[in-house]
Amino acid sequence: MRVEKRLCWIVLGLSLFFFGCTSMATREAIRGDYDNALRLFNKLPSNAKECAPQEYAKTEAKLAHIEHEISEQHWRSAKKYIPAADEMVRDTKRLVKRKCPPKPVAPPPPPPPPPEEKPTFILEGITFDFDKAVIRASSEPTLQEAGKVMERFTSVKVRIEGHTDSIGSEEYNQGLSERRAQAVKDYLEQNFKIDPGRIEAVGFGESKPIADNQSEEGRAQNRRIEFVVTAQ
Amino acid sequence: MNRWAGLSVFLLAVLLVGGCAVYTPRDIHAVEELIRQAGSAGAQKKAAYEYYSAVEHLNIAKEELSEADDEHAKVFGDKARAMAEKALQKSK
Repeated sequence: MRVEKRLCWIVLGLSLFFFGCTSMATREAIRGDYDNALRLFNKLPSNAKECAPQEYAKTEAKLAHIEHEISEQHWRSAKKYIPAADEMVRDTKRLVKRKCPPKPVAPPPPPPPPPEEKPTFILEGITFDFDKAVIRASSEPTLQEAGKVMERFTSVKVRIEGHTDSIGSEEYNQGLSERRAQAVKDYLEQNFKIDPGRIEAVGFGESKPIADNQSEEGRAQNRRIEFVVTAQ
Repeated sequence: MNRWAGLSVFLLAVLLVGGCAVYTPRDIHAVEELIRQAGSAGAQKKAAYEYYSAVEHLNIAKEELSEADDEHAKVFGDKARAMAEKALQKSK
């Protein structure tokens, strides 16, 4: 009798244990299935509501119903509705894809062309006497070439840039570079009758060296006149 | 007598607190009428989402009511009413 009683307790306990586990597992499965369907629904394209309003509304209502059933712990009902909801989401997705295919993405506009690099020429051989801004005879062949080019191509506009080395004060060199650039401009205007509007003269003093100012060779390179073509 | 009075008060209190969820076929008909009006105003095209949402929520409300679940029927019925009103407003 005692053994029978004990056996009864064991059977009852085991039954409760297994019933409880299965029940919990089922609940989790239902919740998981619902979450999956909801995730699919939320992933529908943004135009789904406008594109397939009937199907969208139907699916949304069905999911709301399931959510309600789950919150009320009506697991059997929830389980019953989930496959249908899942199928509805997939149908809506298919319909939206068919009715409102995504528009082809317009190719990005081409990048703006790189700014045109203005050709710059260093006119070698243009030298000046110390502290003077007078064109020397030895510089004339180079300037003659430049003048001929400007005469031939009348649309060409240039900027004459004067540079110095670092000997002397910055202020002094600035003035010197401007005077020398102006001397070149005057030379071209007077000898080739070039419209003054086509030539601009600027001085940069010692601010833009192209070589080392510590050596005589470097300083010689820095004392220069540059032609920048501003219009062709 | 006092016992009956106490019981009545208790029942009334229960009804007041929990009885708000009473939902009847009459409520369903009222929403159906709203949906019908929206449909007549062209809501199927002018406010398709709202219209069909009202229809679907009302179907669920009916289902819940048929299972004698007033509370849930009311939740979905109210939603159906709100959507039907929106559909009607958009279609006018």
